[in-house]
Amino acid sequence: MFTLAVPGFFVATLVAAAVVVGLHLLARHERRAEPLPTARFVPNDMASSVVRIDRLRDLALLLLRIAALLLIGLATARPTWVRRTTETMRVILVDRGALASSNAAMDSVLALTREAQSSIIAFDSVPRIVTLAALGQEFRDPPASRAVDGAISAALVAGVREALALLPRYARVELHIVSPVTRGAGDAATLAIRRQWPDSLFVHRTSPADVGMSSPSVDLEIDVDDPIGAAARLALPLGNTSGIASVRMRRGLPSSADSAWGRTSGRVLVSWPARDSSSTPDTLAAVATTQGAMVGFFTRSRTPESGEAIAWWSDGEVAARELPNGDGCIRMVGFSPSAMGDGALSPGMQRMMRRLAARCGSDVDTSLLPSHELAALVAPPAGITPPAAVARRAAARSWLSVWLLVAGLLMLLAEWYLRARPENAPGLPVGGVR
Amino acid sequence: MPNAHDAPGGPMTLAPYGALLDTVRGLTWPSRRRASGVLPGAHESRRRGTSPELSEYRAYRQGDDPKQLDWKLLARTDRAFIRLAEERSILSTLFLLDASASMAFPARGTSKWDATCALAISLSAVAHGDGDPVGLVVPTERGEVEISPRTRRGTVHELARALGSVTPHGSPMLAPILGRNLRARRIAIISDFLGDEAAIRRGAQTLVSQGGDVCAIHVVAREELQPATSTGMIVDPERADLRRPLTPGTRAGYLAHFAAWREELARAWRLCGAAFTEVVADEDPARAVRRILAA
Repeated sequence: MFTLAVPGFFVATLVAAAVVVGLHLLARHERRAEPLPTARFVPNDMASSVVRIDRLRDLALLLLRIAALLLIGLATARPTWVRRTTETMRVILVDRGALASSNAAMDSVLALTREAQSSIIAFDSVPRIVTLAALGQEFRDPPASRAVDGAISAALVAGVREALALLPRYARVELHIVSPVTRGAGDAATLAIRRQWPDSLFVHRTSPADVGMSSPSVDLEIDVDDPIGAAARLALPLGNTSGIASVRMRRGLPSSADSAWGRTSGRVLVSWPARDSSSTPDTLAAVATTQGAMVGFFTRSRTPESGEAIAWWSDGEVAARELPNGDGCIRMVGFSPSAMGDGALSPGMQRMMRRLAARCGSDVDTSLLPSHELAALVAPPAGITPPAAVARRAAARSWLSVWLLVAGLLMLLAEWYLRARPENAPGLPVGGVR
Repeated sequence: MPNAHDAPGGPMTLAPYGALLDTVRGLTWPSRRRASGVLPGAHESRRRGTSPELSEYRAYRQGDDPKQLDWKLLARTDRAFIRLAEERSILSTLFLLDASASMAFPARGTSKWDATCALAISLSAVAHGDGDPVGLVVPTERGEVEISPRTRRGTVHELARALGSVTPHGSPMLAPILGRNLRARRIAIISDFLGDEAAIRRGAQTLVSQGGDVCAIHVVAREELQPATSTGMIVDPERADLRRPLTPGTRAGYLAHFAAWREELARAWRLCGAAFTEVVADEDPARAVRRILAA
């Protein structure tokens, strides 16, 4: 199949060629006369033979000029010749990270591969091209052995590269993602990488993997009028526990019963500072985690000296720590949001809540990507038409332009030679001479 | 009127003609007629003088110088005869050169004007070497370049400088020059005769009838004798409205017409009493000079 990366150049060349033809048909040549003092001795005959001969040469000149124009115009239009089938090819990016459900993913992949030829790329933090059989074998491994979460950015890089390489050979190439698509799977570069693919992105959202929790739950022993309680209820709705471990939140130091509860694997106990009605916010600062920051009024408290820091004040002091508790963990928080204002309900506070409620040892935001953000990921980028974008990439390595340019220059050389020969002067006006 | 004495002179010197002048050194240019000059020179004179070279006897007439009586013949025959001898005199030579635009053809190689200058300089050197006064007249569109005949040293150089200041251009007429009192008894006309040839010939015929010696040198270019075989439009450089197509079909007609014209030209000039020589522009000038001198 023959494609042009910049067809506008070729269209301009066609217009130029039409102009050349028009000028050729309309122009009346006045022969450039050579001086000869004895011209009077030349018989004053009608020079019809001259007209005939020169018209033939003029035609050859015209054809050479048009050929040169078309060849050079075609070269500048960056043509590519590829052999294409009429089939569709699918590039399937399959999330095999810790949060991906094996059964749901395999079902989606099998359905996709049944309908069209496919190239499968399995990814967690590293994408790899695999066969369907190899993918099935990987998914037969227990989810706990797949401890690394899927990274969509890395998958998109490999997927877009594969799709662009296949695009010249197939009538259509589709890019599919099979993944739970959590917030933590993407990063700041994901959208920019996605825009490298000029067409739509097909997302097959699967349910998250069962990571071993018997029954995810959120236990809030905090009053509703408590800003922490309000924030937790907003960020951790009881009906949506996907990706979130069992979590219990308390004000004040945890009791022995709480500690015993938190020893089981997959459970998180979050201990907030005790509420003191007489205390007033004494700190206007920012608290940051690996997933974001929030600024506001806080009541500052001390945190244990040991444990992994999971939140920090803007002055560098640790604001929250995670301590192992058997197979679970306890998170000791050293700040309380102010009851005044709506800071407790802000998106920053919600991110903070989800971070504090994440499973032990992980700072990945395992909540699902909201629909509007998913739609932004799926939609094709504006301003790029797939054929032009693909043709530009394919033509980057095309040698056809070079050969066409050389051929055009040779035509120009031939035209110059034919025109410069003494017997090839332009033709006489029709009807002879005086 | 530009004069050779006043003109700054073109860059032309005799240096380019050194080899040619060496070749023609020693040649003589005898007059075809008896010269009528008074001053002694190299040419047979119409006058009978007292030189030792006996020419003829004439019966003594009253008034003749008695010193010229041949006393021995008187003693033998009792009849008085005067001994007459050959006299030689100079022959003032003037070169009339055509500097019209057609003389600049061809633009590449040796043009007719280049050949004209070479012939004029070499013939003037020959005549000057014979002791004859030489001069030239070149009508141009801006006036005439004229050097009156003279014998002094450096005359040939002066002629060369004067010719260096001339560029063939336009269509100056030569015929009016011949109608003037040129103070020369031998006129060498070097031209392609594509201008006012008939008027020039009439002027020359008048000069011949007055006892003068006219030498017509017709300069043609090789490209005029053998024009290019390619098809093209040609134009007369002196007449922009004269345009003809030169094709393989018209070329044969051109060659025939041009040859016929040249033949008629030579016949007409010879009939009027002039010496006529045709010279090709790229011909060896030394050979051309010898042919002219032998004509």
